[in-house]
Amino acid sequence: MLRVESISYKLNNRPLLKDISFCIRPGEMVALLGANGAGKSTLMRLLSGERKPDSGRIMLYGADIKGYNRKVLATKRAYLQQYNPITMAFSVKEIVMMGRYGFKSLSSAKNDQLALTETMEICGLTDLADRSMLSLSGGEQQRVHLARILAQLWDNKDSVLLLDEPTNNMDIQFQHQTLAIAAAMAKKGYMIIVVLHEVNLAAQYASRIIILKDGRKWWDGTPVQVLTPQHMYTAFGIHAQAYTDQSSLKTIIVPKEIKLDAGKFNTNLKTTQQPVYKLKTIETDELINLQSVKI
Amino acid sequence: MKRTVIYTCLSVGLLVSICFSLALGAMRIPIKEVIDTLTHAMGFSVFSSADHGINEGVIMMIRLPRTLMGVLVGTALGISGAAIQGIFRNPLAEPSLVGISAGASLMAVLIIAFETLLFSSLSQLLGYYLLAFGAFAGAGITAMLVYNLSKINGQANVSTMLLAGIAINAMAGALTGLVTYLADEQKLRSITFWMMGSLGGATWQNVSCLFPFVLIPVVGLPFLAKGLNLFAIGENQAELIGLNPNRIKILVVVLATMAVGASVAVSGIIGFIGLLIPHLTRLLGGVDHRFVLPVSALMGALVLTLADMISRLIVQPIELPIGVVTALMGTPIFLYILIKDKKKLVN
Repeated sequence: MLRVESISYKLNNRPLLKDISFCIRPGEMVALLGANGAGKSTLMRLLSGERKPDSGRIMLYGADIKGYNRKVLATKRAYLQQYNPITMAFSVKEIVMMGRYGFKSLSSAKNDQLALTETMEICGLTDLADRSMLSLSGGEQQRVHLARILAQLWDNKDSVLLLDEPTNNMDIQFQHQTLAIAAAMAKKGYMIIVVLHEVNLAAQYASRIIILKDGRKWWDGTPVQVLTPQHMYTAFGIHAQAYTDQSSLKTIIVPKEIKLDAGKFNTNLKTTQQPVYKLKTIETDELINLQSVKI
Repeated sequence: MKRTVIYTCLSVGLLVSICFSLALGAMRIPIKEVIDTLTHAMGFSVFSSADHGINEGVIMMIRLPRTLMGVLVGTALGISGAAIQGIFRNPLAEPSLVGISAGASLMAVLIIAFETLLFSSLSQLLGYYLLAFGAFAGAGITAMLVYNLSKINGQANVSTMLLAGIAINAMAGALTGLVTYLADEQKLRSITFWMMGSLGGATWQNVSCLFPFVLIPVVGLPFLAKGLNLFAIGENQAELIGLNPNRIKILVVVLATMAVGASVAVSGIIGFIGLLIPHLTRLLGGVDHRFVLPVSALMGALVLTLADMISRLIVQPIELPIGVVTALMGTPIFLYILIKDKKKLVN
């Protein structure tokens, strides 16, 4: 189990994370949500050990991750980064196999081969196995890296899978496929932490949601508890409605359209074309001024 | 299977080109005599053990050391080029482009210039070792410098890497120029030699000095191949898979610059081999370093032997500096990679 104990992190004297604590049990899939700059990726970097917290500690199975041996930690934790640029023309198969490099002494060649075939199959890479990474699209590359980190932890369910925006660049089918894989891994006993932008994907697949805002943890609970119109407004600054899907009883968030008055910005250009909507039908409070939309 | 064929073809090609390299030149010697002399020197004889007199002398005293030096220098430049590209995660990183060779030659030039001042009592052989170690140190320092300069967020950035290379080349050039200006005529001649690159100075003495500096990297680097593969997905990710990136980096830089430094010490800057060879190797059989490193070593030896043969034969009886030949072969490849990867290199 993974326990984050009151971690804070500053970069150039700007606090990015303030006093964050939570605990994840085996079998949980936690989605991290929050606006841009809320600290999601920073938190993932701390969890992955890429950066060290200024205060607080991260405990994995009762021991501080600082004290772990690098090779042991590699069997207990894997991290899918947002950007994984590749400049050498490795083939898909070779990249996925790299996830197994740390295991060479621990696992048989047969096991490695099995992990390779299975992970490539669920990530839909079987037909791309011999293609060069450089010839793949962004979404396909992301799937290769997903397969690689799955292969890394394939035979150790006592481990943490950190996914930072795994669905980046993926088409809609693989966005769902990716999260379905993560949810299935959680069912096996893995701990999953996934950063997502798409709230409804989190609502559908995660067993728990943590919302960050300005470097603090604001809400932590089941999707039904956390995903409410009020929270959506506070965390993201959008008006949204929350529905409950009748069959699955899961929450669906439907954001309201943001309407901008074309006449109010880029005033050098005359608005020749009338906006599709008619101004008088819009109530003034629905017109959000560009400057009030926080980025 | 395919890889076995590649290994066999390259090995046979290397042996054949060595024989031709021994046979051809200002004075032609029949292949049969070459083989005879070689086997004779090894202690047994295939053909009649007739005394070939002057031919044997030409082969044993001039051509054999030169050819062996070509093989060693080619091996060194090929394998270290491949290793350095792996560390920089970039097919354009090449010892002479990113300034590693310049760093090595600067140190070598400094040692020559101040030789009499500091180490007047050193013997000739020790002098060669000193030169090799000095060049090795110069190469190592520049490699670390360029790597750290070009690293952004744990990944080497191409444009900074090449710019750092330009800066270091310019600085080393200027300092070398300064030393040249101050040096006397005899030293001037040996300094000019570093700048051009040549196998002409080959003797049994410096070949035997070069040998360990090439052998250690050739044996050692393939053990680091997996680590180099992991570097392709970034230092962070390599670390998460259980690798110690700093250890791999230091080992690779030490071994690769050992080879580059020593070959610069004996033959000057021979450019573009480190770029051309790994590129050809990857075209043949993929980018896995477990394949690229040993094959680059073999192919480097083969290509440099051929290049040396061309440099000796093309304008007989004068000989071209070998750097001219390798640059003529290498620059088109460099341009080709640039054009092919133009978009990706902007990043």
